[in-house]
Amino acid sequence: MNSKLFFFALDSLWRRGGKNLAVLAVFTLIITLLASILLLGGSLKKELDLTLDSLPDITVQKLSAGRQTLLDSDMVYTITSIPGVSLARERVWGYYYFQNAGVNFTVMGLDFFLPPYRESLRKAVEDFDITAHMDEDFMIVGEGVKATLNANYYTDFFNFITSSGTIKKVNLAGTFKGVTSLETNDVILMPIALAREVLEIEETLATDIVVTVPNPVEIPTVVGKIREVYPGSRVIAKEDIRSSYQNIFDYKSGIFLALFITVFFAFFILVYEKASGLNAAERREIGILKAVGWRIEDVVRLKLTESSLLALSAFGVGIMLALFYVFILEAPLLIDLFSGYSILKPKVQLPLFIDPYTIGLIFIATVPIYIAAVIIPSWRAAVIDADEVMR
Amino acid sequence: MICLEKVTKIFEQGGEGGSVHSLKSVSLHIRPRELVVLKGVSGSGKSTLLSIIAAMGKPTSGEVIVDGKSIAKLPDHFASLFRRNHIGMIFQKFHLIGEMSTLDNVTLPLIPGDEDTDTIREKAYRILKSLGVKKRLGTPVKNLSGGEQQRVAIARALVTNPEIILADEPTANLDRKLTLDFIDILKRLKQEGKTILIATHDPVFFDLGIVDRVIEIDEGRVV
Repeated sequence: MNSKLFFFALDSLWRRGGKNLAVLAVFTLIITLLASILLLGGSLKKELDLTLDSLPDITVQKLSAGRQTLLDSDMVYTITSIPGVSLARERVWGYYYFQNAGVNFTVMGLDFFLPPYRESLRKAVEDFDITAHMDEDFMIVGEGVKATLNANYYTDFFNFITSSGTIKKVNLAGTFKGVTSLETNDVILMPIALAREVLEIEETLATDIVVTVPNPVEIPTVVGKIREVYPGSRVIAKEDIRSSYQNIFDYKSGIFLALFITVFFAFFILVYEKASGLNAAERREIGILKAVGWRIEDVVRLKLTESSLLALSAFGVGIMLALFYVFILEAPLLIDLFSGYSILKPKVQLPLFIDPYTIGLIFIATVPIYIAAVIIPSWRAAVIDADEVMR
Repeated sequence: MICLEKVTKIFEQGGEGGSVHSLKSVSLHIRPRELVVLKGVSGSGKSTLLSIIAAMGKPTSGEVIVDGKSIAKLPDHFASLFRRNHIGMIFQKFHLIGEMSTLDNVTLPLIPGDEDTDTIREKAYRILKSLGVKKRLGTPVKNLSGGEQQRVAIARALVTNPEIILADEPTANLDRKLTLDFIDILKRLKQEGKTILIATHDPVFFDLGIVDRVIEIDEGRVV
């Protein structure tokens, strides 16, 4: 690379500072929007995948009038006896609506002396010293819950109001963080007996039963057998939940796609403006360069350097701004498009997930196209005889 | 040095404009170190002739030989190199890049070459100094006076040390004093052994002692 040509290109960009600054600003904005959309989508998809990976192999629920209802805890014994099942465990959980904040918490009963059925809760249990809280009603909460409670002046305890109207005071013993915030941000963990009190679930009943089947090939068979034994139950394999979530994600992606297309359209207007030809001053400048002995390749190299400098700057700054917007500011406005269905849930922390493929895709879809849009009209002007260009 | 044989140039106007015969079978021989004035009214074909000699445009037919090389049909790559290495062109409207500094305008022909930045700036500075432009080297040329701009244009034409200087209506935008200054510069260039071809209709050149020949062109023909 001829360093003189590089500095001449820099100088040339500087000379047309106003125009180039405007192009740089628009290009950067477009890259920022494109990258934000794709980075946010990728981050949420990652969050979703991590959440789904930690789900139980099979979940058994009871339906009544088409709605989920509580089931008999005794079902655990029958399900455990099915060949292929290594573990079946009842779960006591439900939603608690915290009116002051207008959010739903997920209250989960947990046996703190047993390994948790969910990988994401393992660390929460392992890190927690149960012996210090044996003689009190306690809970440990996700970070989103902690923030919501603190914002409502509950720093050490929380008063649950049960559906029969009684108040149950529960001490706040600690916080925990799961693999993904989507999964654990709104979760309150407490001993099973306490969860039964708060949610008013009788001793013989449970919310659902989770089943572990070590061999994934056997899952459909086990699902079939549970359905045979309990015809009124809803038996959900992990894959069913995955496709259900995927459908929601795909729907939201459709909205993003519309936004994506709009931004791309703006980019192509910018490219079209560049590709549609040079203005008189630009043509004259190329004519002068040719007249003083510049070859076509010198002119093309100059324009390549100019456009690369501008496009790469816009790309670099745009990606940085997108990373800042998505992962530091947590994508205000844009995230509402995706998380609209969980408006009652506390705020989600986006996992830092940068897919090189996504960044590469944005690069390929923008930078070379812009460079080509600048070079082609310049090349067209450069191949014409110098006297004709200047005339 | 410069030899034109039956050079014809036709410009196609496009649409219903038809075609314009700018040069009609022009033959011309210019010897090394000669100072020749091409005399003619506007539109007579002088500028077209200069641009063909500078390999900036190609003749429709005929042969152009400069320094023993045929340049009439040179591909752009070689035509540009020929122009850069052999020709210094001074335009009527100077054709400087207005927003660029004086020094940068003069270094323009040398940028694609192999010499380093310091060397080309040194060359440009020396040429400018010899033409009496010592100050305002960093000033955008659009802020210079007409006379200063012309000196910058001359410096740009001379910075590659070409053997041939072509000047197209060089005094058309200058007052009497600046025209005399330009003639002084021409004298120096002639003393340095340059071959100079000036296309003009300014009578001041016709009776100058330094002019070897005046060739009149009328409606695309040598009279």
